[in-house]
Amino acid sequence: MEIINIVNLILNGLLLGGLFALAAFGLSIFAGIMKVINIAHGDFAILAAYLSLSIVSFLKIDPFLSLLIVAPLMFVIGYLFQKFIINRVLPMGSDQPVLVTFALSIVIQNLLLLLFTADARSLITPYLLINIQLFGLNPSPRYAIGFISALIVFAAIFIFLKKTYLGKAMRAVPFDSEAAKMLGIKSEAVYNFAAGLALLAVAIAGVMLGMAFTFYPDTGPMYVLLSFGAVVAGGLGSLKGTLVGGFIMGEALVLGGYLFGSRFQLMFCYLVILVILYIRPQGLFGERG
Amino acid sequence: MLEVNGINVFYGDLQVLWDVSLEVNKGEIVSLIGSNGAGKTTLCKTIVGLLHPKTGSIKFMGKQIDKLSIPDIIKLGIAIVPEGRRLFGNMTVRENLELGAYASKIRKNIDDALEWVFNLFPILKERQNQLAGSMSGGEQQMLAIARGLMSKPKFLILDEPSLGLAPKIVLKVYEIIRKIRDEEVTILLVEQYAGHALENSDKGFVLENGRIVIQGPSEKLLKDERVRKAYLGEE
Amino acid sequence: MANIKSYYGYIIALLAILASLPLWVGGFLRDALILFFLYLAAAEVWGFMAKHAGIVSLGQQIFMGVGGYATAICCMYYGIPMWASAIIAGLIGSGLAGVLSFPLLRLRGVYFSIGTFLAAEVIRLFFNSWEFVGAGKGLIFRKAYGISTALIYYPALALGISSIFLVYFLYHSKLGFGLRSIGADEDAASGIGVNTFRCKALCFIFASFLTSLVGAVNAIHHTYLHPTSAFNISWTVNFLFVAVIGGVGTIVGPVIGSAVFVALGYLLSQYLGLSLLLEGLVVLAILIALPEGIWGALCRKLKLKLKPPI
Repeated sequence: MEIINIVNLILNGLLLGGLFALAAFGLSIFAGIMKVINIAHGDFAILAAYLSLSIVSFLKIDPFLSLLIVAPLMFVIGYLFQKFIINRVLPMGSDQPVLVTFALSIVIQNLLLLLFTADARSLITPYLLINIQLFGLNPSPRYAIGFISALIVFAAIFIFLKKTYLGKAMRAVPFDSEAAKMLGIKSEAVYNFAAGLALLAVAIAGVMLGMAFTFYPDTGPMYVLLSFGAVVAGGLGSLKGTLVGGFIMGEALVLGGYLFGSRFQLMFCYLVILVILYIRPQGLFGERG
Repeated sequence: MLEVNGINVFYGDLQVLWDVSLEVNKGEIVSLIGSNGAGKTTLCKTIVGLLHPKTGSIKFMGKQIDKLSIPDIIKLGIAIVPEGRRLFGNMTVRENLELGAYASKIRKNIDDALEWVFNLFPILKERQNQLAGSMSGGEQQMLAIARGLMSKPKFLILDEPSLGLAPKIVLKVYEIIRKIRDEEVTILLVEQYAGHALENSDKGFVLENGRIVIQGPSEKLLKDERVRKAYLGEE
Repeated sequence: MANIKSYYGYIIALLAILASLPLWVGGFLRDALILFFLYLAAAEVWGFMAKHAGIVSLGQQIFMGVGGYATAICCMYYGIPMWASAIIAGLIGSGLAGVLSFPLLRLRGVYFSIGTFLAAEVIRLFFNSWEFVGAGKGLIFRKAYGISTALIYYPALALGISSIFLVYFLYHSKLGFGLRSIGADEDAASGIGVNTFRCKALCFIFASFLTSLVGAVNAIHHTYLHPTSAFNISWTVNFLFVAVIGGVGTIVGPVIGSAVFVALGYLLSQYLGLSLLLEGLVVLAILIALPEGIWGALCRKLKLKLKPPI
């Protein structure tokens, strides 16, 4: 293969990786702040895509505009989800959140199946199908949009965590929740907002993913696995790590496609995640060994 | 200012404090002495609202606080510097200080509080962008105390401020404690090793196995045989 | 073990009744019983792993699928008698579990759970492209045609009963003691000399052996295998449902749970899409409001203090 084709491949892997990183931010927040792996994460993303679909077909607007409704809606869903479900089961032991988020994943998938049938759906718009030629390279506009959004969302979350009071509380609570309590910071309240923030990011990711790929009610698990891969590759508790982890996942997927064909690229990606879990479970920037 | 009346505190079914009463008047420094496991930290946690007594009451400036939430208690003017400092090592000095003002109304006027605290602890001003986890023990204790002061409390609980610190640093810490009293903050000093605490306080209470066994003016306690044997060990 | 010996009489009588059921029960009730015992077996071992070994597997479908496919292949491609194939499938499944133990059991908590799900997906995707087993077209288990449900009932019954005994004896064995200490505090357990990896791996292998056998019997019963259904997450969902609503980690729990599951399945058979949704909602509600399950709540209300793992 010519050099230019390889570079093109790597470029698109990077752009796709941005999209995956965007998808993974929400999971990273749950994992880093609430210390919960939200198995329903991918399903929430797909939920956002379907919500967007409904709004787009009803109001005939661009999917981006639908985010003005979908994003705040998902924030509220996240807040309530944390408040009434996760906060209730957190004190019950570390297995309960696993079972609960798994059950929720099943519920969301089947609810979407019931409401929207198993037909393939897409949020693709005509302008995303145009062919971009840049220095002889061919970046995919669908991926590029995801990549740019990822950087914007990353910056936004980063600034929020660094500069605002709530953001600082969100960094303090997972470090030492009792000390935070003694300063008057209520962990549950912090978690509620963090969950809202997480699902806000998930909403944006879901819509982007819906614009990039066709989706079905059961597409969720694939995204939670890839997001999980991004979070693990980058290291738990590190937002920057998740960004890098996303790039790793993106490259892994395109590499898998190039080496083994599109039929096996997902399998290759999953195997990569398993290998990372085996050799370096704390990830690149991880905090725990 | 602070009245603890006959409180009984439980961890689940296990009783840890039995009929504990103590009093701190405005402007005083009061010592609470006791060995490991006597219940000192439990008492601190109960005052600040982390735990609630099953029976008995706690009054602060006349108001009953034993059923209030921690943020409400902090807003009334109580703050705690926890045992072991419990700083947020992943955050900077300045961020730790800012979080100290989280629950109080000070949040809006945080620059005043920061200035006050930086005046008391110039070294913290120097290191304000340093990660709290990378500082020495003495500096961390300064930061912990400073963080407790950020909510401009009227009443400050210091749980074992000299723990794990070199003697020279302990002297510095007590210098600061005296300074804080001058800034009109009433102090409850909790220590395992009684020497410095009693020397720097007006009166003291000794807690043993969850019960107050001795109390009185600090001068008297320093001379008390039981206290000398159990809590003044090697001078 | 004193209290179990005094019940030997009752147990034997119960077993006799259960063994005679096909003689006077017919039609769809036999199918219901087969389902009941198969799900009971799978849920008993899933629950044991989850509660007493701290291993929450979201990949039980691996063994359902492998058990089924291995049986069909041994039987049809290699001419091995059907029930012997089933046993071999069980061994293959437990062998696979042994192999998977190495990458997966080093992971703790939810990492392990996701690891099992990842592994299941990899295996599903693999089978979907593996021409030898028919890939996406599926595999028709011709040799299993014409096997009467009565003949399938007995293996199912056997699996159901053995799962109960397996869980009971595992709990009281040295391995069980090791597992429970791991469940309580894994670091402390390894500190006192418990080989945590070996304990968890053995538990996983035993459970997978049984689950693979369940998959084998299921394949013989349904005679058609396809990667999407054989390796579908719904297997795990169903086992989880049975275990959770009954009471995770108890022996009686899955008995109640399986009965509820089978009954619900028949009641809702016309609302095909609804069953998984309902299962998910019920599990969610139970986990939040009644985490001990029906049996646990019953024991609490009736003030029954039974020794675990019952």
